[in-house]
Order: sequence, then structure tokens, then C-alpha cells
Amino acid sequence: MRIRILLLIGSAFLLYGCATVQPWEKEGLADPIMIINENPINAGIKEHHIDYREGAVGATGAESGGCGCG
Amino acid sequence: MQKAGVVGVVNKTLLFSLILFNITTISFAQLLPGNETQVNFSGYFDNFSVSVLYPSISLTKKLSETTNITGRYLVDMITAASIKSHNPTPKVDVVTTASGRVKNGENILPSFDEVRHEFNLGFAHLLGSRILTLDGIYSTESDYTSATLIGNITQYFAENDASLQLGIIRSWDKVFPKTKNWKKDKNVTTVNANFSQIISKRLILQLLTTYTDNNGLLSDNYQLVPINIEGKDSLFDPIHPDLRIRRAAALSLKYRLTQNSSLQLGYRYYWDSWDVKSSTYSVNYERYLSKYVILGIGLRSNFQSRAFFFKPTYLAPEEFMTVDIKLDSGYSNQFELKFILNGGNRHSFLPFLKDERVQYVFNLNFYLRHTDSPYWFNNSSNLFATNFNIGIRYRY
Repeated sequence: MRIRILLLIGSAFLLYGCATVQPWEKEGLADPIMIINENPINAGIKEHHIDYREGAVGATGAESGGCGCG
Repeated sequence: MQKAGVVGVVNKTLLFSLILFNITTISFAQLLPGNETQVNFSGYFDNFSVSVLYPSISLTKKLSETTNITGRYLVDMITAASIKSHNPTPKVDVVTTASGRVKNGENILPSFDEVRHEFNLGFAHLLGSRILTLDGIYSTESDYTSATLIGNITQYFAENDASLQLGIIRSWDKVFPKTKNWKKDKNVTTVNANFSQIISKRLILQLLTTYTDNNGLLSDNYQLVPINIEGKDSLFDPIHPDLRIRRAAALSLKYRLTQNSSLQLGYRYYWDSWDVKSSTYSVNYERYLSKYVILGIGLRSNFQSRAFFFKPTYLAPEEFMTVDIKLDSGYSNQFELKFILNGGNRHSFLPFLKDERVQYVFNLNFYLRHTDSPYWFNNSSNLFATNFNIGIRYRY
């Protein structure tokens, strides 16, 4: 049920986003504070310890290898 | 006169087209990360006596306008592990290679401090409006090796307003605990599909989905299951199902609040074939304190259900058994604090802040995990942890 709601919200935003944002309107979006996962290495470091302390992983945009048993 | 006007219009159109073409070409080229060196020093400490330090160095080199390579080296140094508990003779024993247990001044078990080395080599290529990446990761430590291959293709469309990324990750792991005389395999295959869309000049949406097939040895064989049989504690190896299908979907929205600040809202739903379900909520706020300083604060909450075979205690051996606390139900909260110092301030009295190619990153996270059953060795249901990172990025 939750996954359906998630997809529904996502689809609604996508339909809304069909109107193209013009190149000259994107200046504010290129700012580092507007980039999702601006520093992937930092994101990986943050996720690494959580991955091994919780039963749920994935869909975070960060990946790492090894057992990380710390 | 009229002709000259038409020529003027044509030239303006041509000029406008050329500018647009240039913007498009430049922006596609900018999709590929440029030359960068990043050094990070991170640490993790918790009240379960675990301390980890992990320095890393990463280099990205642009070979051409359309190709770059990345190399990364990371070391995990576990200076203590949970077995180094305050109780020298725990009722239930778990032995890790990262644990040295000392009794009467003598090591009664091998005293190792675990060191894990991770090597990463990546390659990215821009092909028109799509990026192809291939990464290889190799991780090795005294009782575990992991080889991973990651392939991704990212397609940009709708004038770069949207991107679709499809990826596949395959890991081949070998597990050989120091306390056992066997070596077993663990194989992981993950498929990702991620979508990003610029919704308006203030709003960006990202949808991430993953499907993971884990098979092989999926238990931690340093954690032994105590079962009281006829008044005597016996220790059994944990038995997990050898297949776990894991799925997750996440939605993130990033909104520009003001010229100087942004807000990110996130929700992730996770469910797997072991009946673990979780909902994760996150909110992050970033703000320019000045032209050169960014402050970030964040909150993350996770609520999780229990794996179908997890029990706090077992009365008799069962088909599947585990004492792995991360498979118990519970919740966690994390508070995140981030400072970014951008170089380029020529008036700074600190010389290392004058170079605009340098960026300094400071992260501090406070983490609390509560589980519905107490952890066996310290009888505590609450894990408190601190996680920090100090990083330097040099882009040139």
C-alpha cells in the first residue's frame, strides 16, 4: 500500500513537471545546496555505519563494499 | 532596409541557437565530474564499545571532455569491538577477530584489531546525452573478502530536466571466520532504477528503487545463539535462510526556500522476504551563513519490524535462529550537523581559505537505536553512537 502511495505521489510530481524549466531558470538549481547527494563519497560514509546497524538497506543512492562489521 | 532587418533577425536566431547549443554542450560536459582529489578522515564510536576509524583518499581525473577515471582507497580500522565488553566472562560468548579478550593478564583468545582495505576503480564515459559508468570494488580483511562490479547508465532527456539511471551491482563475497574452519560464499545482485526530475525552478524530485537478491551465508557466525538445555547453556551457530530478497523505494524532494537556503524531505519504504519492513523519514536543511560557509542540519528516523525468525531467546534448536539485534523490531533516530567551508575568500586571515579550488567538509552525526529486545552481552536496548567526518576536496 505504502509503495503505491509513494509511486502515486512520484507520478503526480512527474506529470506536473512536464512543463520544461527553461535553461535561464535553472541557475538556482545548480547551486550546491540544491543538489541531492552533492558529495557521493560523504553520503557513502554516512550510510556505511547505518547499513550494518539496521535491517533495512537500499534506495539511498550510496553503495559500499565489504562487511563493515564495525 | 527590410532585407537588412530580415538578415538581422536571422543572425539573432542563429546567434541564439548557437548560444543554446553551447549551453547544451557545456551542460552535458558538466554532467561528468571534473578533476578532484578528496581526502576524508572518519570515525565511529558507540556505547557498545565499538570504535572505528576510517581514512580514505579519492582521486578523479578527467582524461578527456567525455571520459574520466576515479580511484579510491579506504581503510577501516576497528580499534575495539563489542566483545570487548565490560564483562570479562560474559554469560554468552561471541568471538570476533576484532576482539582481544584478556583474562589475568593473558590473552585467552586471539587478539586482533581488524583492518579492512577497500580499493575502488571507476570509469565514466559521456556518450551524447547519456553517461556510462563502470566501477570495481575489492574489499579485504582477515575473515572476509568482497569483490563488487557496478555498472550504470544514466540517460538525460527533456532538455536535461530529467534523468533515468539504471544500474546493476554484483558482489562475490567470501566469509571465513577465524573461529571456524570453513569458507562460505555470499552473493549479492542488486538492480537499481533511479529517476530525477526538475519540477520547477525551485523544486527537484528524485525517486530511487532497488531490488536485491542475497544468497549464500547470510548470518554473522561470530554471534552464537544460547539455548538452555537441561539446565546447561549450550551455544549454537545462527541459522539464517540462505536467500533474502530485499526491496526499497525512496522519494526525495529538494526545495529552494530562499536565495540562501534549501529544504530536503525524504521517505523510504523497505520490505524483504524475511518480513523486515521499515519506514525511514528524513529532513535536511541547508543554508549559506556567508558566501563561503554552508550550514546543514538534518534529522532521520527509521521504524523497523522484526525478522520472522528473530527471537530474544530460544528454548530449543529451530530451523532458523538468530540473535542478530539488527533483525529485531525497533526504531532509530539520527541528528546530523554539517559545515562546509568554501575556499576563495581572499580577505581571510587564514591562508588555507584563500584558494577557491579547496572545500572543507565537517560532519557530525548522533545516532540512537532502540530495539525491543536487549542486546545479549550488555543487556541494553539502546545504542548511542557518534559518527564524524572531516574532509578536504580539491577541485582543479
